[in-house]
Amino acid sequence: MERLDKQIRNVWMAISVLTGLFIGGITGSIVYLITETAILGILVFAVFPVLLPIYSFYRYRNWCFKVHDDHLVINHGVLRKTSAVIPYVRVQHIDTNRGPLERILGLASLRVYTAGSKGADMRIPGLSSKRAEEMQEELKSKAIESEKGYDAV
Amino acid sequence: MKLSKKGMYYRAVSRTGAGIFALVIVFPPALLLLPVILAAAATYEYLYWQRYEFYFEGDDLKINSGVITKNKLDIPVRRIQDLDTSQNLIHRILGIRLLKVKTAGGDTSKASLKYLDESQAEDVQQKLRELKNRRKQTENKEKALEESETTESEIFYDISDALMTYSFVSGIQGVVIFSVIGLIGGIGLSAYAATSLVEMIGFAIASVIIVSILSIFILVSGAASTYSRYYDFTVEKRGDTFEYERGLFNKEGGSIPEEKIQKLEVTENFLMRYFGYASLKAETAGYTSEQEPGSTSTKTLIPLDSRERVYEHAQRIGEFKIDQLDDIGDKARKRYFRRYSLISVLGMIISVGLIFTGFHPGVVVIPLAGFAAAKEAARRKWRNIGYTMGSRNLIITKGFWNRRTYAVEYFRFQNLITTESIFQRRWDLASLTVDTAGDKVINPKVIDLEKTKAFELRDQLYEKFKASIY
Repeated sequence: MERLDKQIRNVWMAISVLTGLFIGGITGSIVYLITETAILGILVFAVFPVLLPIYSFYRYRNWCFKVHDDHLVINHGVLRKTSAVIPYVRVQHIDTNRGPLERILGLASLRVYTAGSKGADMRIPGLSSKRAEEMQEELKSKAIESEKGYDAV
Repeated sequence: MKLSKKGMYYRAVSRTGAGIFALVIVFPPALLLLPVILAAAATYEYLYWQRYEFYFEGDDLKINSGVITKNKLDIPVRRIQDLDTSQNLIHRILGIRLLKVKTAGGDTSKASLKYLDESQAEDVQQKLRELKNRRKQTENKEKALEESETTESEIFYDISDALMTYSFVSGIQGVVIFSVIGLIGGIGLSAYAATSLVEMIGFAIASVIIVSILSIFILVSGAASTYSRYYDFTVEKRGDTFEYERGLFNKEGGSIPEEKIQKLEVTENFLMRYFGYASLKAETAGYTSEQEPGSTSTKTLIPLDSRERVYEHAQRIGEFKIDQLDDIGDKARKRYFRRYSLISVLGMIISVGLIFTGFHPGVVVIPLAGFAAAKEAARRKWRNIGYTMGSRNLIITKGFWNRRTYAVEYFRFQNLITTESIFQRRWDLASLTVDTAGDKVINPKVIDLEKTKAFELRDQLYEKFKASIY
């Protein structure tokens, strides 16, 4: 099983600390204003910046995928663990995305589209941009190779 | 070919009518602008009509359209998933029809022909049929010979006698749920509000009467709507295409090529099961980008028929044998028992609270009944979940009140997805979803399998998928 780039874990955790501070700040002050108890407000405030990074940590830890000969396996999820098998025959197209933050860190995400409804598009985040491009090429050629005139529907 | 001229007038009026009406109500002097607005609408619709052109070229349906931006659409006939036609009352009076061509893709490959004259619509459908057959013949000579003999249509299903029964049976669940909640609430409230026993009985009788009247009203109005929608429902099978038509006021019709069916679904609600009825639906990957309510890609082939006949028909379309189902493992039953017991405990806590606020202590009967029923309920829920792998199909069944049985051919699989929620993980359970190109909401799913079993099943299904496609 292949893992995501370590950097994305740090990004996720950093983002979740910031979101945690933000949400915690709002809910903490609301709780404080209602109960007028400082300690309760602080406790509520502290919960988010602690819990969210833990979530992100597990999110990274549970994220993995594997490129097999004829299918792709993607596992992820913290509260609800998901594992998907995507046969290459079913792949409609593949693209890579690089947001501003991802560009700075040299990361990219890969999106695999199928005609399915639940797993219509599977996104693999936090790949090094080199790996993302490599995978895009690899999956593309595998998808073409396995298609042999199939409608993919 | 051009669209219907009558359709053009209809569009001009119908597309501006509501707006003008609203405007006049808000701001009556706007009435003066009416001729201008109508003229503008008429001009636009005329241009739309003038520039809308469709024709067949080779194996493609080509459509050129657009007043301001020009669109060129090219739909290969083999990509068409299904065809839909519909007519509301006004359309019927004018003799025009809406024809929708559905393909599996997103926005760029759909077509709604608004509107065609009735005869023209028939011609287009006929033409598409011919093109499809011709393609088949060049593709497969022998099979085509066989098929040319069967292009005469045969009646697959005709609702006639069953329509009344279906109208009442199909909506029964909602009514039952409504009346049960209504009765519990009504009687509970009367127990709470009454000051004497006589008053309580009076209130209770009144609430029973009110709930009954409302239930009957819901049942009858639901039945009337189903009746009008499924009036004169017939499905014909022409070659390998199902063609259906239905409706009392609004007429709807369509065709579903057998080869485009993604999955079959047999549904039986508890009442249907009791009387031995079932219904059959087929789903295609068809998709028109305008997500109009009610325009799903799931089509009813048989609204109501005896269970045996439904299975027989399903068996003719694809393999549909459910003699022997595999169960999902014992743990799930224990989980359901635990779940129902917990609900009863919760009910008990609420009842005790209610007694403190002045309810009759008799309310504890409700959670006690829940406890008593928990085991049996868990067993029934569990027993109704099952799956089996046929030679061509995966069959999944679930539901005690409303049982659904899906049959998905292996080569229709898109993805296989296992999920474990935190609650399932406590029990080491997982669910397996079989993703097909079809409806955006419901995918056949085997729920609460033992985890090892779920992954094993996924591997087996993947092998079956590979064998079916290579």
